[in-house]
Amino acid sequence: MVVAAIGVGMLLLTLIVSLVLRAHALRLANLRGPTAQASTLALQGVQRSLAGLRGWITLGENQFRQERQAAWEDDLDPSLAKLSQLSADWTRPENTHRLAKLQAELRKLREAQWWIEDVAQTPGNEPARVQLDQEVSPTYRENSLAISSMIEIERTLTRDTQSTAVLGILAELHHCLDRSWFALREFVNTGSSIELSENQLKFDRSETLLNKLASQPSLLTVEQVEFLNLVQQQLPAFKTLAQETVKIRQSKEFNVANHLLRTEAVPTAGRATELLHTMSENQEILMEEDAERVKQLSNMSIGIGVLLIGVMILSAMKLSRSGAARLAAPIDALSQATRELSERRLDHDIPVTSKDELGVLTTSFNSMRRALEMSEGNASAIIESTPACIVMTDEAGRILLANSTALQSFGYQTEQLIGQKVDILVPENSRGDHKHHRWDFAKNPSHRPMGAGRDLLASRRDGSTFPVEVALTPLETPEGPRVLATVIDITFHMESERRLREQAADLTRSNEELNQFAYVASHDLKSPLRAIKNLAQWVAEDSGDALPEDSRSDLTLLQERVTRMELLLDSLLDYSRVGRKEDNPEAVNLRKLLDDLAATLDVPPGFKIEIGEMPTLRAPRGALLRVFGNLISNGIKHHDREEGTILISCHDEGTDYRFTVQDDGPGIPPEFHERIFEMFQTLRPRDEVEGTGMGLSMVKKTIEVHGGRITLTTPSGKGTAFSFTWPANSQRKFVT
Amino acid sequence: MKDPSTITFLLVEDDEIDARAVKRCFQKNSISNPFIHAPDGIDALEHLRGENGKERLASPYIILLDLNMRRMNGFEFLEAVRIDPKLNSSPVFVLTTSNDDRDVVRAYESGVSGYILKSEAGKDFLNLVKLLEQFVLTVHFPPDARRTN
Repeated sequence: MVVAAIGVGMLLLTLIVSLVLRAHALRLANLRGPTAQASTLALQGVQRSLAGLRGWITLGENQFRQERQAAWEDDLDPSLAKLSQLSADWTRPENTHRLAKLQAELRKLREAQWWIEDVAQTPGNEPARVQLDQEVSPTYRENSLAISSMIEIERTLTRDTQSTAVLGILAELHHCLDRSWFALREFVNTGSSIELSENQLKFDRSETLLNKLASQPSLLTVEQVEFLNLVQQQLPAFKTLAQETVKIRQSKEFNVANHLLRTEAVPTAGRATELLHTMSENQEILMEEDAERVKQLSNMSIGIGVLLIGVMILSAMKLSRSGAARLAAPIDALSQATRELSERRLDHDIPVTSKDELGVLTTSFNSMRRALEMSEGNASAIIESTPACIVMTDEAGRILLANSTALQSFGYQTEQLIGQKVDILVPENSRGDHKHHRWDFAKNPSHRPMGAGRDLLASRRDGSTFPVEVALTPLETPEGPRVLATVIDITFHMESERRLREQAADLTRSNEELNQFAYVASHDLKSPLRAIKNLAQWVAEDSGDALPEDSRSDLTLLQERVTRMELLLDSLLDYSRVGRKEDNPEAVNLRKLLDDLAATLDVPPGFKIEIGEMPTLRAPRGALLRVFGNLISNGIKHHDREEGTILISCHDEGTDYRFTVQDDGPGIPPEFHERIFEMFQTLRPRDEVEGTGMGLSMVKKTIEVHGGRITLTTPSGKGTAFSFTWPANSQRKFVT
Repeated sequence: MKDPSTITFLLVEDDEIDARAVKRCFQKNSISNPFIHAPDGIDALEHLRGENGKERLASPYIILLDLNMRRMNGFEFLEAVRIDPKLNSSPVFVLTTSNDDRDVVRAYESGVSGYILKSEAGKDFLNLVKLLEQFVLTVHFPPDARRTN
């Protein structure tokens, strides 16, 4: 009840403050602003009217008169009217008083301007000019006419020295008069004092000349004397009038309009301007005061609002506390549990105390906790059991987690590693670089292998190093960014790679040596062999008859063995050349190749060669001939009967063809299946079958060099089947 | 055409047995042409130029040249013959055990008339003899360059 009363009171207070606030804001908007605006307009009008007036005085063009009138009509009159209207709301009496003064000044200004405008372009505006035109000019003209007449008369007289002198004096006198007149006129026009010097006005000189003439009247005619008398009277008048004119022109009031402008209009305008300035300054001060008040009121209003809210919250809390106490305990328990869960400390379910929404929430929380526990358990089990080292660091590179593989590989205990900079796992000499790489990674985290293209080394606790591969994965966790590094020790991998490389090099070397040996053998061993053969033959030819029967037979055996030796050497050479010297692959029609082969192989009459469906394939022709030739002749050579069949078939296996050459001979016991492919192996006594024992080795090598495999089977207990694969598209190039 | 029987065979061969084999083959086939055996290139050049107390070999003649020899081998000998204006038109047959393609190409580039493998010369060099007979009968020999000087 009390709370409600306080609330209502506060609200009322807020309302009042708001109303006051509104009034102030309105005054700011409706009074201060327009007053200042009107003052400014009036100021502008004063300056504008004066500028128009000046233009009119100086140039006499109508547009300036219009400008002056417009200044009053557009600026001054409306602003004055506005100010009068606003003054009804003015609070300070000095302002109203000031307005009255302003109105008076402006009235004076308007009248002065009217007067100035009227007088400005009338002749009376410049009295000196009036004097010049009305007084000086006739006098000048009278004098000038008199002197001219004297000159005219003098010209009609006889020319003698005296006459010439008189004429000269008269001419100069006329000139002096003219000069006086023009100088005076110029001065009235321009006000330039240069025109007033004696040199320009020539009054003294005129007097002197006049006196000169008067002193010698005998030289003049009667008429001339009359004129001279006239000039003697009129010239001083001219001088006096001229001097008067000069005096008028030199006075301050020589131009009435300007004078009035200076003495009347400008001071009045100045006073009006000052009044206006004061008024607008005043308005500014008032405006600031109003604004300050608005600010204070606003603050007050906000304060009251905040207070009100506070009071309401307090009362609400007071009200709810009693009701909330009931709900608080389970929520507290749940919130405590959540905190514990986030810190991984919770290992039990929370008791469910009610059957309402809170109970449901608690049950859900419990199942979530169990699921989390299980998945965390799985994750830790995976991390712990993986054979790779796993290290997790925070953004600064501090180790937060290391699995047992990592501890074991790097030689640390958990507590020795956790909290350390990850750089300690890097060899000392590359720690600096590693730090920079780490910063780079932090700037642009992405899953990637570390140090791509570089051989990475890791450092154990004892300082020894081992080669590693490292994958980095950035993780976002509620505790901040983490980097998961998976490190694999590749010592063994690199060691076996090195061994493999060595073995490959050894193999290449020994192959090279074998080839070299075969080549040398075929050439250098054959030479003496041929010599032995020749010698044996010559002995047989030259002294065969003289030898005992046994010796002759030995000699024959000797020759046979030499021939065999030659054959062996040739096959050895051939063998060494397989894969080293091959033709380029070409499209080979196998059906045709086998037909041709069967025709050239000298097949005994009892034998049949049956050829199944054959493809055309791309391969070196010589290699195919060698393989099929050897296999077919092998089947015939080792046959135990006078008649037999050799079956050749082909099976398309996709990337490879599988060829089978099968005979129905005695077959080869399984225990010899491997050995028959070795060099110089035949399974029968050497003399029984002509052959070197190189055929099958050569076949095997040829097939394998071209990427195929050969196997030997004994189909259905009888005969032998050689089965080999050959790539469907053999594109291998052979180095010669 | 010259009388084939006046052609001298100059065999340049360091293997005594091979030399004898060729000679025997000639005898066996009743080829009674003059026959000179030089054990290496240097000795053969001395015969061709009449140096070192040897009598100069007069045209017409055919050189049978082994490639693998001590002191001066067959290619070095061919080089010496080809740059010698007095000898550069001499007909030369290579008679060798080497069937290496590079050797064959190099020999023909040096302008030999034929390249015969000893192993392919057949039994008792019969093929060689037949080839030489054909060559002698059909090929017009260049005049002895030295005599025109």
